[in-house]
Amino acid sequence: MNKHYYISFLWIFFIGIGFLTAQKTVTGTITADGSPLPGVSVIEQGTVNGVQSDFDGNYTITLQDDNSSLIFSYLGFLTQTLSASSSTLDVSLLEDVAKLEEVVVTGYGSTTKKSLTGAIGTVSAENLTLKPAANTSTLLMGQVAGLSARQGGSLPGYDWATLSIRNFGSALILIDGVESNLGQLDPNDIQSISVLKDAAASIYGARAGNGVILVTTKRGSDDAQGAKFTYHGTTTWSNLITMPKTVNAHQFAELMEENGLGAENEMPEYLDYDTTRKRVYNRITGKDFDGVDWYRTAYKDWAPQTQHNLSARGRGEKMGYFISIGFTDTESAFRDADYTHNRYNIRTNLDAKFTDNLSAAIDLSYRQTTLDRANFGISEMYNRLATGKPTNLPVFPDPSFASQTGAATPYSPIYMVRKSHSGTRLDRDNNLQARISLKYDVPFIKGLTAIASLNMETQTEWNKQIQKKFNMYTYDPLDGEGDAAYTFFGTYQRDFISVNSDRDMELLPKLTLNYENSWDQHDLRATLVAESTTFERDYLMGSRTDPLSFEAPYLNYSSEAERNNAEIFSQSARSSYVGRVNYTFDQKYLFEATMRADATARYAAEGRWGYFPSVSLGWRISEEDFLKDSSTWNNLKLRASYGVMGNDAVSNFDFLTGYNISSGFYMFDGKPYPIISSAGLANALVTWETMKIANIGLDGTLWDGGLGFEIDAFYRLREDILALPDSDIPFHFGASLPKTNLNSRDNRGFDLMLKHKGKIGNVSYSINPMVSYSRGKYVNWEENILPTTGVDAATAKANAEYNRRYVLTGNWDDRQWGYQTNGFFTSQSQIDNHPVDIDGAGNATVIVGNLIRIDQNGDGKIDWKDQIVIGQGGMPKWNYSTNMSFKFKNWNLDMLWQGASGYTITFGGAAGPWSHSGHQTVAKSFAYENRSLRGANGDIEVVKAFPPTFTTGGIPQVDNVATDFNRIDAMYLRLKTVNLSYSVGKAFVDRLGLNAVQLYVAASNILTFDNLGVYSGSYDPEITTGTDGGNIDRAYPNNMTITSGIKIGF
Amino acid sequence: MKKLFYLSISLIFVFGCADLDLQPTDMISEDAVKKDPKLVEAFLTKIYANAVFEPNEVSSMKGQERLTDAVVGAEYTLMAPWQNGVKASYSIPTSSGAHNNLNRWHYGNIRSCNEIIEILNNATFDAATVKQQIAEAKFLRAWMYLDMAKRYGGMPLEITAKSVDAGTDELMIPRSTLKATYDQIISDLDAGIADLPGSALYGKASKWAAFALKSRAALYAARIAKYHPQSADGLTSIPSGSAGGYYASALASANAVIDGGKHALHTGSNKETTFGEIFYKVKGISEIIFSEEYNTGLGKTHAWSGYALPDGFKAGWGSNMHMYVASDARFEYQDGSPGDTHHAKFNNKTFFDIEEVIYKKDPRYLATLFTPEDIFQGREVWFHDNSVGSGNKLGRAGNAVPKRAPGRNRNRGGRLIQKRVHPDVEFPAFGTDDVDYIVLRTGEMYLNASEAAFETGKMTQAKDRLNALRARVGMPAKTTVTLDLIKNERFVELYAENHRYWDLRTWRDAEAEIHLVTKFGTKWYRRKSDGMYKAKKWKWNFSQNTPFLPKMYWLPYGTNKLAQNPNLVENPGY
Repeated sequence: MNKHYYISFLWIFFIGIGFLTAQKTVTGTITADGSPLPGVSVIEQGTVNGVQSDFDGNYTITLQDDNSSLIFSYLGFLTQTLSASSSTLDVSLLEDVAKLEEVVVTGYGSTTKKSLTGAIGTVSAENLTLKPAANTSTLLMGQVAGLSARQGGSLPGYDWATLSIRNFGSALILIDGVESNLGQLDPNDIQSISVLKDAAASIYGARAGNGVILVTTKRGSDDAQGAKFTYHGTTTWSNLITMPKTVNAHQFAELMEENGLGAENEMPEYLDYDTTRKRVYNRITGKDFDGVDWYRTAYKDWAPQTQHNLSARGRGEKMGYFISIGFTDTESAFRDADYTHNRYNIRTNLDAKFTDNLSAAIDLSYRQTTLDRANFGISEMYNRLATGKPTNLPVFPDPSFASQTGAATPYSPIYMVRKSHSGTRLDRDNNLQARISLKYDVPFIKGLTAIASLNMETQTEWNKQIQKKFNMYTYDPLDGEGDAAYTFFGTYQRDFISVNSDRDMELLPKLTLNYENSWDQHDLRATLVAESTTFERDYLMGSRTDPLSFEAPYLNYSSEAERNNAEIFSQSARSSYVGRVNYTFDQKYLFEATMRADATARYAAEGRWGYFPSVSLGWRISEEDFLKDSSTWNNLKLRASYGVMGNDAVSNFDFLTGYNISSGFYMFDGKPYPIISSAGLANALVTWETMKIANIGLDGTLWDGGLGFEIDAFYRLREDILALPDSDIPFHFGASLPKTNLNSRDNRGFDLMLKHKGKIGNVSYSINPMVSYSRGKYVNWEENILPTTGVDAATAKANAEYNRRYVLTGNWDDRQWGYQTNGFFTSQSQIDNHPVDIDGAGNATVIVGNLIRIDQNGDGKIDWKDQIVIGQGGMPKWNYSTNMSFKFKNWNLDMLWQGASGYTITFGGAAGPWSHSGHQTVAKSFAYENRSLRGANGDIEVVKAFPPTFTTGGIPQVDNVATDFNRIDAMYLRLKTVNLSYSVGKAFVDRLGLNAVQLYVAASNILTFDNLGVYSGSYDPEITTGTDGGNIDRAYPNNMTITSGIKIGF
Repeated sequence: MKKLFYLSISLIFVFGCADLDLQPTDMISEDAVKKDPKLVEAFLTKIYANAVFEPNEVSSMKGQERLTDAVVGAEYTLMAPWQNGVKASYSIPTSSGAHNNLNRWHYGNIRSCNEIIEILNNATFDAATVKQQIAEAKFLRAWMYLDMAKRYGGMPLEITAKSVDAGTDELMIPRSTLKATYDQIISDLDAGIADLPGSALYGKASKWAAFALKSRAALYAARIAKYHPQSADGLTSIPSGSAGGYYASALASANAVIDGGKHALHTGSNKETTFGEIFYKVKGISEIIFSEEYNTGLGKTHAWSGYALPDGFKAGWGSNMHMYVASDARFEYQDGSPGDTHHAKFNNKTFFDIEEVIYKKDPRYLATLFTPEDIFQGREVWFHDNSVGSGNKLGRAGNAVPKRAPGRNRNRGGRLIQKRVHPDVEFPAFGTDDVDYIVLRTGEMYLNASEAAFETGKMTQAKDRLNALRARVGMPAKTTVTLDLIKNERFVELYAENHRYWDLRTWRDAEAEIHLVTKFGTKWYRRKSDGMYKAKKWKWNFSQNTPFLPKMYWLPYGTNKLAQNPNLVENPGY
């Protein structure tokens, strides 16, 4: 035994010597598509021995082992492993058309595209930065099938986009693993974005129910190429896409005459209306007065935005770094307004390698956004703007006298936006985030890594409002010249100062264990994570009225009489454990299972812990023998997944009974008395909503990238939605039963993405269309469903009618109810002969121009029983987009077309058919042009799309109900962005001493096709509600932008 | 290596640990409330806060909503047709139960009353406090049941806080008859009369408030019994035989307030000022029995003057509440001649002297309204649509006259509501008013007494109570009284105080007074040479007239409420 051992040792020794003495060198040329490929990494398998190919694609490597294989890898090309049997080895790399080697960030880790089993969409940095956007969220539009990013307006600081995965609702957004705000992240800092659409999100447990968007920021580059500096600067000019066009003074006066208000009532004395000529004229000069458009006075044509970013990125032997500083400055489109929004982003992501086994990542990021503007309410501003009469001047000859709109609430929007009049409002948000994570490669167990990290974040939203009272005037040159022409009209607001601060603090420790091993045909990876979060929020406000002087606009120096202050404190906490196992057999059969346990302080101890498992499978069909050598199929993979997730932001301490202290009071004898109210009945078992999602997907790439596709179909069941189980108690019981996890809804749909790459002559191009569909139903809803059996026939019929109209269970979740109409009455005799009682009073209150509502059940009268589904909500069921890219020499042209359908826009209020008759809001041109005209007897002589004006205005009561008359099932297609870039030739760049120079121009929202009919061009199909949630005429429109940018590498 | 493994495992648990036993910061336990009279008081204060003493005013929709009762009752109307009050006036309620903002369901607050009474019945603290707080809870419960009974008729009566586990029979109670509902209200008020203090904190219910509310409730019950047709189920009617008893009760309660002396009619030498100041001073006026208090400094405000003030005196909205010609006709002249004496002159031709046509009217008219050239804050309020001829006759306060009044003053009714507007506050910022709201005042008690006395044959008392109100403003006494006269006096005295609509409904006069009645406003034209005016009536109906169908005497419960309790019956006609 001993002898044998000895001999074996000797053998090994000699073989070892033999290796050392017989070192072999391999040389060769690496090409792709016939051209030499520089920078390809050549590594001897199983060692750290490696080189890179030179500028001509040549490499030389000295092997440690004669029989080694060499691994050739280069980003964007398929990795090849070849046996180094001869001393010359020329290699031709194939492009990775299916992007199988692309690294995809997943929950608590990353993997390659080929091993992916979940429905995960990715966006890479290149797709984000050469586009204009003040708000980073909007950059995600049209990038991932199933992710909708709808832009709700473009007012700086309020230019949010609703990010929703498969119409599930707002998704969880994690930036480097921490819940965060994507909109204010500098797009230049983003390395990649992953969108977890199915059970892949389960690993985030109780918060992940609506899907997860993972954003990863850049780190030091992968290769030791020294420091790379990049400057990226843009200047963007933006202009509003749509602006409602209002009637001019003559048309306005004509409408006022028609609706019985009298034109002369609606204009200053120095103007008058000539009824025969239908013209407004100036009584002093005798000239016609065409009027003023308040919108065009308020908005200027092009507003500038500038963005700068400077970053350094590199990696040495012990140190990797990404350092970035960004600045964005945006102005609003309000003319003469004091309104700016700016943002600073600073980020340092450092990687340090202490020993072979121990390394660290040290990340710091700071963000500051400042919205500095005049003091006015955004929605009030729109409301007032919509009421500025064309017969009243927005700016008087002497502009120091503030105008008034001439409307009922006459506050001048033109002066609201000026600090000199309305005061100032400063919103300053700071966010500081710091993270240290230590990574230890456990030396005793191959493949085991431990990472401990601590993340701390503090965010302060600070706001100061200095509200000034300002005087408004009327102008009438008939009263005299100079100051005499101005008469004091009234004041706006009172002098007031308020300061608010909202401070958040979050602490997030995390420990991760990773294990990775391969043997034979088996690949195994496992991850175990423990993390917790504690969160505190403290809101503090103080306000006072009547500062002594605006020279010293501070609370201390304001009136003692009306002091007000408040504090709100809240906290929350969560504990979580996460586990995951990935197993791959023969690179063909993929398996992944995850489990997360979450506990949150929002719920009682009894129902606090939740467990969220998921499982997903993949089958790489193209690796099977029957397809492996196919020249058609580059890749084909079938995926299936099922997972459970939660939504825990639905209840906060609902398990406690007792009394709530109100912040309100009631007065007795001059003093405020405190109020408490019963918190109601409680349910100790209240807990989160549960989402179960099943997904099946197929990925394929054919004909060397000639066609690629990813298709996913999904079904999500959302259970345990909190509801008041009140169907068993009547309203007069006086209290609601405690919230209970009762209701369920679902969503179903699919996402499809296609890719086509090709080349025509010298132009290579790619086209990447995608489409997604999602719609939901109420599966089971806590509600009264009336019995239709076991009762008499009449009751059964009535109950069935009630159930049809009011029961939600089993029905689509986006039904909008209302009346179907068939035009409007054009004559009194038509009303008199109308067989259906529309108003419940034998049509005694119905007048010419009222809508003809259809009696669906034929009972001769109109009531709720005649309501049908007339719309499908404001959330598009269909989203589609196409990315197109063309490349010719140094030129690159990218286009994104984007559209949506399957939603309804209601043109209500001043955006609707009746707006021409409201005397409060000034009519829009489309309403004037499309109104029907009455004859002398009051009957309608000229029938157009809209009813005629009504005597003294307003929507007549009979019509003030939801009908299909002013709704459109909308759809649109929009050229969202177009981008032309030019990479300056290498020779020239070298002469400048730079690495690369890229110049580009880009534009957004420049072309739209929609089906809004008469409303088209006046309203943006992407906006379905106003800024205040009301009618769409109360929204800051979307912008079209033109950007010029330069990106310099040095 | 094992050590490392155990270390890692234990670290995992350390990292996954956060303190999850957090408490909300705004809660008080049930036990604490049961033991502490201060906390019971705070719970009771919540009921005051949510009882909605000012019609239609719910904290989240202050503003034009509060004007609904007046508009649906055809007292006055508003500037713009889209305002909720106007929309409500056109709306015919349907079986869906929707009637914009006329609906009012108080059961949450009623349950709180019941809970408080239960807590107090078991309370161990000071017996006198307990007794008074129970009486307050009952007063408030009566207020809320009356607020619903006048809308919906007989109500399901909840007078204990039921347990969720109670059986179906206990939970699914039917509606009580309207008589039983009114009797419940009156019995709660009797408890208030017995146990509430004669002198309560301003803003809190007193014995006199209980008397006054009982007088109103009993009068409503009596009118319904006498003037409404009988319904088989008694849900929307009260047996006619009980009318006499309710009238007697209304009379006795009103007299208790009048004769109690604590809340004497407010009097003074300048009749117009005396009447007007009741409504903008409120606190400290003897006549005020019960009111809701506002305070600008504390941020409890409303926007009444913001809506009421005419152009030229306001900063924001304003010129909103316009009187109809028909309402004008109800205000007599100071010599006792009928209110429409000069209406024939409103023919767009005849010039007249406004001192004669307007400023000789009942002082209550002058205190209640802004009228052409009314002098307010030392300046004239202009209403004229245009000027005629040439000349420069100055206005009533001696100021130069504009060619036309500002648009919003001239393009509607021609007279605007002034009642409750504080004359000392110039150009108030919109929504910063703090004039209190009067819930119960002695003026109403005189009218209740007069009507109840009349209906029970006590003609002398009916006349005396009526004439006492007229005497206070210097109007000549009536020698005989009729029901129409009493109704007219009630209109004049209580104009724009949210009584009219409910009076019309309980008298069953609403169809005649409201249904599709054409409304007129007035346009004024001023002659420059001598300041004389001519006027014209103009039809003003916002495109549609106000309907009032017989079924509308009772608002519907609505299908959704009926679906919750199969034992509930809908009001007829829905």
